[in-house]
Amino acid sequence: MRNRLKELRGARGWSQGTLAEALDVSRQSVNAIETGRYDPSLPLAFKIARLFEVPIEQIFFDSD
Amino acid sequence: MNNVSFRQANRRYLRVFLPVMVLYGILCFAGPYYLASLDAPATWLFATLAVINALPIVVVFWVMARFLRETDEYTRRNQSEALLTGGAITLSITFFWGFLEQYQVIPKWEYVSVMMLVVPTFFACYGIAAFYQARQRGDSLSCETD
Repeated sequence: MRNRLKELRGARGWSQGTLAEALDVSRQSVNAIETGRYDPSLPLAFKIARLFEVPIEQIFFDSD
Repeated sequence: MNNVSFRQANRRYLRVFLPVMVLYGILCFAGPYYLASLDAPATWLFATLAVINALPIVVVFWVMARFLRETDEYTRRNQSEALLTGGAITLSITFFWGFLEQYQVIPKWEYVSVMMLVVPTFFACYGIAAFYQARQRGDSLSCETD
């Protein structure tokens, strides 16, 4: 699954650590999601969407 | 899954893990030292000290399980994978070792019980697995990449 997390984070001028703190996860989690090495659970994906105030489908895309 | 934040989970883990490991280290030396200082210690005293010496490790397993429940999902997945790998390697080693002893390829240890080495072997295998798997995933423990 691909995502725009890095782009959204960059637009707000946040570091991975800042985003990790806002989501209450480790910085490694943010890094793994951004680089596509880890697909978050639905609750975490919704939390990300709420934080950036965009629909979930505008952040995560099917790889196909 | 829980009401504890990721950072609180780390703190709660270390707050129990570190003192318990220090206590374990002290007991490893204090128990035999105390027994050696007695003239003819009773069997029940040996048994009591042996059980007390092993108890901190039970607490460590409990706090590790609590940490897995409380930490974030990515850490939980990675740690679960490392624990499973460490456990599988340790059980494989003990199984091989047991058969080698059974077939009298290697002698039974006389002074130290091989069973004593199972837990340290597990922690070593778990640690190596966690490190190796983190490297395979490309996780960095210190550098911030933006």
